[in-house]
Amino acid sequence: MPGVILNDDPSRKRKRLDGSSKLANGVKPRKAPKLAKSEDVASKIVDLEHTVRDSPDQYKNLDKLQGYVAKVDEDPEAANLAAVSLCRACCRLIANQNLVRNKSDGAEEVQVLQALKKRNQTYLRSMTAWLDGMDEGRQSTALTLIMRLVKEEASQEAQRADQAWRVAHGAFPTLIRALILQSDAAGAREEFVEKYVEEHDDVRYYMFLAIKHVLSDADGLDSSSYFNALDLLSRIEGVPDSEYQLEDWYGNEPESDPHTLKSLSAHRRAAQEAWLGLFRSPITADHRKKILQVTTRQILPWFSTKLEILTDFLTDSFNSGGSNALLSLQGIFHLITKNNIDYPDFYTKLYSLLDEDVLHSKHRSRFFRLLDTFLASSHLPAALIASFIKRLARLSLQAPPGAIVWIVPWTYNILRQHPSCTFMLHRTPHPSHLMYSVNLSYATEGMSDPFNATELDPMATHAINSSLWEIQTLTTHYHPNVATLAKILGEQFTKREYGLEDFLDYTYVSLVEGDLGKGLKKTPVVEFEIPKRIVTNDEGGMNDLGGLLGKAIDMVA
Amino acid sequence: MPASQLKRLKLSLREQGVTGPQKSKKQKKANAGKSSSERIERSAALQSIRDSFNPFELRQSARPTKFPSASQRTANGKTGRYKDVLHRPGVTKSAGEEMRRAKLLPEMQRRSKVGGVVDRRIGEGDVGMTPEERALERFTREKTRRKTGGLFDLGGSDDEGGVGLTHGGRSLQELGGDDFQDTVSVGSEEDDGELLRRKRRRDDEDQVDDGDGVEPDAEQPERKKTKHEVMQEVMAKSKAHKYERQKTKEDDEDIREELDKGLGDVLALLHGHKRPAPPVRALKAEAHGEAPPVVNADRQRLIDGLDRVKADKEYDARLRQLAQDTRAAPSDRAKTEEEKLAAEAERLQKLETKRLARMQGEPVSDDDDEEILASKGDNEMDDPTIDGDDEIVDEAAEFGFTSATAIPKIDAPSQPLVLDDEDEFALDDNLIARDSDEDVSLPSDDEESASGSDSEQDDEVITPADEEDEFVRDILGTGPNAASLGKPVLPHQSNGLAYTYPCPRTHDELLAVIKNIVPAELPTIVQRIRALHHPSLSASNKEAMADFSAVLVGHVAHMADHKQPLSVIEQLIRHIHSLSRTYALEIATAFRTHLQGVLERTQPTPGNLVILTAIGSIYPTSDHFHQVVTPAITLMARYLGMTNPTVPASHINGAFLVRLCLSYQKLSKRYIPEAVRFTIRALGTAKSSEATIQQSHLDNLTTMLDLWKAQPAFTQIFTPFVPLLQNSTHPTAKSITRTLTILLTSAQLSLRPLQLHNHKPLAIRSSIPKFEESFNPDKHYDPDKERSDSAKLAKEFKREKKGALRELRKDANFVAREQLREKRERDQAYEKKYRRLVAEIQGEEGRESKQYDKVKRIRKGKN
Repeated sequence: MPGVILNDDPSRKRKRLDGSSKLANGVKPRKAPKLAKSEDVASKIVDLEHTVRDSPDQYKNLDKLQGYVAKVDEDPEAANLAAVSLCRACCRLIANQNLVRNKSDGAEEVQVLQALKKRNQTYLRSMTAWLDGMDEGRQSTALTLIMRLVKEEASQEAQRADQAWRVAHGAFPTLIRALILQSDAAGAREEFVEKYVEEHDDVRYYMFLAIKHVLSDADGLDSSSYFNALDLLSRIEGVPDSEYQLEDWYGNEPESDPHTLKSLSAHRRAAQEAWLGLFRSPITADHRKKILQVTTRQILPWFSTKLEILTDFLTDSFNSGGSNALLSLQGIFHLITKNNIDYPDFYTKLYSLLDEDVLHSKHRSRFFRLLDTFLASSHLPAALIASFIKRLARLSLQAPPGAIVWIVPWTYNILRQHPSCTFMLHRTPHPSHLMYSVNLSYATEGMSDPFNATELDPMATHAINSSLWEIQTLTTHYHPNVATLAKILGEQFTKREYGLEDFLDYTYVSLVEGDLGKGLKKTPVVEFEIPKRIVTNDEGGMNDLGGLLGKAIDMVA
Repeated sequence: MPASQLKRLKLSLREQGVTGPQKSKKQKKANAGKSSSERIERSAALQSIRDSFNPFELRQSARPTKFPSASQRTANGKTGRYKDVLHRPGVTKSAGEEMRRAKLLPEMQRRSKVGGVVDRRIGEGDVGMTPEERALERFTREKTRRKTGGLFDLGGSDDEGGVGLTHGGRSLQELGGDDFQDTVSVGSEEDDGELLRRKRRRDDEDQVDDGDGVEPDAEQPERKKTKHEVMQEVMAKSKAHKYERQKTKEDDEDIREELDKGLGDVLALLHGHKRPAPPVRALKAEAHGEAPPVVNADRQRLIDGLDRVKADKEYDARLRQLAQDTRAAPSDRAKTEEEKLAAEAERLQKLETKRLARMQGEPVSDDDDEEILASKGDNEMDDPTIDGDDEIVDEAAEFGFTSATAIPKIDAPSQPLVLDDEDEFALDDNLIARDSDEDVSLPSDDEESASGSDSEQDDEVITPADEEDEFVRDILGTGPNAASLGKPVLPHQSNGLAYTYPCPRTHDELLAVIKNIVPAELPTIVQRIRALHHPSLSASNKEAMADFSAVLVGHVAHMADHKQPLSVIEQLIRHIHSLSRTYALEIATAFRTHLQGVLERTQPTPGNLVILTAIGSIYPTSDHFHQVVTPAITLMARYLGMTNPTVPASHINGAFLVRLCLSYQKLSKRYIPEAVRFTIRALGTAKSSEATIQQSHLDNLTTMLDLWKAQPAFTQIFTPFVPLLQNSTHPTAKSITRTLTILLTSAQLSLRPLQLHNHKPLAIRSSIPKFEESFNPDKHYDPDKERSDSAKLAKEFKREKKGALRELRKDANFVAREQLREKRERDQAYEKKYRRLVAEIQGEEGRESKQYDKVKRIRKGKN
């Protein structure tokens, strides 16, 4: 049993091996018939590793081990074992500085060095290849082994460690590159971010640098790799907001005090560079949506400067329309309120978003939540508020009950906040009201709704001079609950505010289930008169309804 | 040196004008008129003089009033009057002493004494009562008691002659009541001795009853009648006349009763059982012929000495019977055509008002329903037993009928079924017993047409081929007598239909039943199943029919899914409708289960569409909330809202659903946003599609225009249609555009700004400082009522406790004083006795010594 053997050796008590031994244990039962053979191979691999450790001449045994690793598909257990052994060997090489060229080295030694380096690279490549695949366990093993190497590299003296983090063929940049390029490495990415990036500030910093580097040359990058990069970046949840939070290191702790790794602005700069690199890449609609979804929580905190670039991105996103527009508005609103960005057309744009589809979209509750936030200020002009109210009321004439159920209490709340808009509910005849002064002879000629539905500027729609006839119509909505709710606007405003969250998540399904779920407590009333005809007419043919029904049945069946 | 007391008294008396110079008789006479006021003044003056002369009789209050005030009440709640300010410790003390002497002393003296007779006579032992007062009190008490009379005193002065108590020919009342007469037996009258008295009275009555017949005056020798007796006779005669008059009246009543008895016989004939022969006595009485004062039979029996208890029982039983008798109700037949129509109109009016209330979402009581049902139940209670039952049972048995239906008892009385009379599908008597001439009084068509409800009645009059007949024809085949059910009938007739079917309780069973049957025959089969398993035939039928009703709901959907003809489905829906009057709960549950199924799918199946149609016709769709309709219309709206009409199928489905949900709102005219949205979208995309589809959408639009023309937002709802219609090339689009334009203009004319908030403006909440009109610093103004109450109670308790302690202390003092007095008296008596004894002895001794001396002297003298 290889794992046990390795653990028996007291000199090499390594945590990492537990994983592989577990792996071996997990694999073993399936390999039961080949037990003798696999034990044989295992002992051989251990022997090989020992020879490498004991004599520097036996480096070519590394190739043999590499051979085992390459044959992963045939004998995964042996490959695992070999990979772990190789990792240990490489770590030892790095720790012994065997991969560093000395000035005193002769040509032969240089050659040996080159060969070792080449073997190291080969090993790295094979490990990164393992990252790409369906086998989660193998991905995890490869990630752990590479990070082991990274740790070893980063534990060298400061200058060389920094070099190791950055240089393109170093273990870490290679890993990042692999994570971005390989499409099936989602599990590894998640584990990487979770285990290393979130835990260690230096890993995060160098990851940003590496991502920026990878994204800078577009060779070999396709949309999926951009998505992978986005995936990596958007997974980062913990954004530091002070320098004191920078204290967890994977490599050695940076000694010199004003060190880039200890500066928050350096971190931010790195993050910005990485994000901007992503923005510059060709972005598909899906990517954009994903970016917009994380804007406020995972992008904006990194950005203290270069906000204009971000604003441009958000504006572009808004212009692309649809749900992106909505999502970008959230970012823009954040920029306006938190970062003091001047964005004069915000409410016009928001107003333009209110079309008939928004109430039917699946983002409806999200939109409503944002709309409530955007219009929460009591300092907004009444004309603007009135336009929003009227627009929503107009839309509710064709809206599903789920939307109406939110619109009515929202209107109530906002009318309480802007009492000058309550004229939309109650306007007594007085010449100071535009509707009466414009239509002086309204008794004979009538009136028309002063609200201009096609006007784009919410300040110029004249909604404030209009009335909410739409809401009045909704009091006769077919669903009793909706109709009752709509009546609150006609009653005295005694309640301070309605909790809008309670009204957000109504759908047809929840309404019907609510009605059906009540159970039959009372005997339902039955129509007292049995009609003589329902779908037929007296001549024996089909009547209006029956004809349609017949057609519908024919169509469906 | 001040003047002496006497001089000062004289002076003050003179000053007050109590004494003065001697007045002449004239002056006295002149003053006599105003004596009363003068006397009061005089007594007041005397009182003040008395007070001023004994300063210890009066005591000022311990603390003088803190602040002098002119108000009526001072701070401690006392008025500023002389009486309140001054205390008279002497008076109170003596009053207390008096009271103790009256109450406590007797108690003390009675202490540790056992038994004895308690004197409870009125006023006995009351020191404050003079003997005259006592006597008066007793007399009045006795008098009032007489006057009120006993509990069962019938009290007619007229009837007194019969049962009044007399003594020596005079009524006891006349003898007058002296209380000592009553008290003789007991010796003392109880203060509240009602019980004792009553008991005694009953004893008296018994004695009198016994003695009444025993001591008639007739025994006494004749003597000349006194004037009084003559008067008595006259009165007796007049009474006899009166009695005569009453008799004749009673005779009339008797004759009437006789007639009533005859009616009973007639009724008995109707009921089919014979009454026992009338009592012989009555016959005899009639045979007698000559007796003018015919007495009521019962009374006669009473007179004859029937047991009183028995008679009472009989009376009770009759009374109960009377109460349970159904009131005579005018039969429907008596109604004229107009009256029937009026009643019908009234019923419809009632239903309509209830529907309106439901539409407004007001709670509707089911009282009327219950009332109607109850009245129906009454009607049916009168029904005699069903006569045709046995035939059905026979038939069922012959066919090896082994369904859930139990065999009904042959002579079982019909259950009072809650069954709708107007239900046109209810049992057909033709089916049950066509060949028998017996009068079948099931709730059949007679009653139906009589209490019948709807417009169909009119149809009945106009067109003979109404539905019922139709059904009957279907069932009976060629002629009314062709298929007599008394004979065994083959399972399959010429038209392939059996007359009996098991009642299917699951859908599979139903499918098995109708396996080989043309769909068009299905309504007939349902009709027969309903007739055969009518709940009035067996108790278990009710359950079976409930299951069957639910199965029918499922089957309607099943039929639609299998493209069976709509006309048949319609018939089934109407069956379900009529069934749901009896099995409303089961059918509604079935519908709701089906709706749950609709909820889980996005595209409606034909079955779903048919079910939705059925719901629209069976249930009142105008209700504010209805357990079946509301989910149904929400589901339709969901489809309309979620579907984008792209393919013809969705166009047609949508158009149908729009039409259906508009027909749901035919009465209540509620607004359906999804219908508008769907129609707009459909008209926008329907250009390419065929004209008929577009036509149906335009029809829907017309309906909507008509339905919602009164909506305040009419303009806002329908303006989006204008460009669509203008772009449309459909021939009818133009006319609709014209209608729409006209309606829009009229809407504009009637448009006014909303005025929803004509409420009374809400007052700003204010907290006015609470200001006390007459503030009293001693009083506690605790806003917390509970706390102030408890404080008040605690204070009162403390005061009472103090008072009680004081009283107890005074009592103890009094007791001690009394004991001391007693002891002193005892000691004194003892001392006196001792002295007397000592004196006696001394006297005796003195005498004896004297005698001794004397004897001594004598002896000396002798010597």
